[in-house]
Amino acid sequence: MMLSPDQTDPDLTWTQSDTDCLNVMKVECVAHEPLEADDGKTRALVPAALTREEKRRRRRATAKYRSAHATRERIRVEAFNVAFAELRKLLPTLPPDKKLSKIEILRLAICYISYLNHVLDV
Amino acid sequence: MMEKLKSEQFPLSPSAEGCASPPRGDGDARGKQEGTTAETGEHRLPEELNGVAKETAHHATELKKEVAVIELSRRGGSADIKGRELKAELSHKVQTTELCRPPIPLPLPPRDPLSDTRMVQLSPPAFPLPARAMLYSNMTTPLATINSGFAGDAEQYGMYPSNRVKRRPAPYEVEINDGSQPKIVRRIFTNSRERWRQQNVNGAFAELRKLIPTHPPDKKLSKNEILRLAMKYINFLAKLLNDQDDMVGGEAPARANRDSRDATLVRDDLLQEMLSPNSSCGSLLDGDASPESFTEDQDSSVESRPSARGLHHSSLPLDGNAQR
Repeated sequence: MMLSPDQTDPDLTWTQSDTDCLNVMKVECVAHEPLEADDGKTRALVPAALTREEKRRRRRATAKYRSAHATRERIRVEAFNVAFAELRKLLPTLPPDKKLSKIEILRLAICYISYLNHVLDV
Repeated sequence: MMEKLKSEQFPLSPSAEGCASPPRGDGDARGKQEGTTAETGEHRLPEELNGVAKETAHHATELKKEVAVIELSRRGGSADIKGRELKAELSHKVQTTELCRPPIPLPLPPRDPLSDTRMVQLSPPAFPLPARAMLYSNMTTPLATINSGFAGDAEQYGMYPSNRVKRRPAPYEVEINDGSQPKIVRRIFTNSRERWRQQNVNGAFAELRKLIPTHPPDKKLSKNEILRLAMKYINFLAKLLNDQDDMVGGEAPARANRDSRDATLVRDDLLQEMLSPNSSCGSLLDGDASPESFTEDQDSSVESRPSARGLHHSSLPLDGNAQR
């Protein structure tokens, strides 16, 4: 009963786009369910019992897992860059749309927060 | 009398040995003979005085004996003992010449050590020059590389994670095949510069983290969380500043109360937002198709990754590549 929806979800995520990838992230967050699903799959495919470490290694070696990992990494980097862009919009500069590097955005944010704290304290 | 003669004969024996050298040097011997003739002439005058006085002192007697010997040699002519005495005198002169000879070689030894010192002085400047060149070329490299190039290179290779080595095999192989030091030095310089840049970015993240209020104050946050909380805090401070400006405008007490309430609400929201990642991890949310759930999932995934620091380290050069 529980195993069937887990199996179906990964398939949907493989085929579809970001939202499904996010669902995959949720599945990854849950530590127990994917293990159970993998246990079921391994039991169906290989009758011999394997250690948890061996199962994890084989699972991670699959092309699907590599693709999912690459997708998650891409999403993480994109979110990181989007956060930098949004922080950049909050910082006052002349001209307003001046191009800043990551280190410059961080240093300017530090100065701006210190300035705001100083103004509010006064 | 006889004892005195014997004592005189004993020193003759070493003088006899010295006699062997004069016949070899003919010119020197002739010069010495001339000197002896002059000395004998001078001795004649004191002889006459001593003979007239007839003093009995030992010193006087010794001098007389010597003078008598000389006179006998002149009168009689050839006597073996007398000739030996003359040769002894000649040997004395020869000894004087020998004494003069040592100072001649003396200046030679000091010249040799001078040349040796010069060689020593020349060798030291040669060694430090390449050291200085290495210092100039490797100003940006760490001290280990400055101490020993090979050890430094090995350490840098060891410092790199296996992922980096695997991802960039081609440039290493090409450089190794070329084997030219300038390229190796350039690569080391580039790697040091990139490492320095990454350390600066991480330092800035640490400073920004210190400015963001959290509970507990030293809570561990990922880079993405630091950025998002910084945005929220900046918005909160800006709003607070605008509210203060409005208060200055008019109706201070009523707006003050409202502003205080808004401030407390904003703070509560911040706390809730801070707590939300933990709650999402703990509760294992299964919600779908909601943007809040997406953001929470991202935060939770980011939190899960900090446990594997290697991944973060490996991801850093990706960011660098993205910038490039």
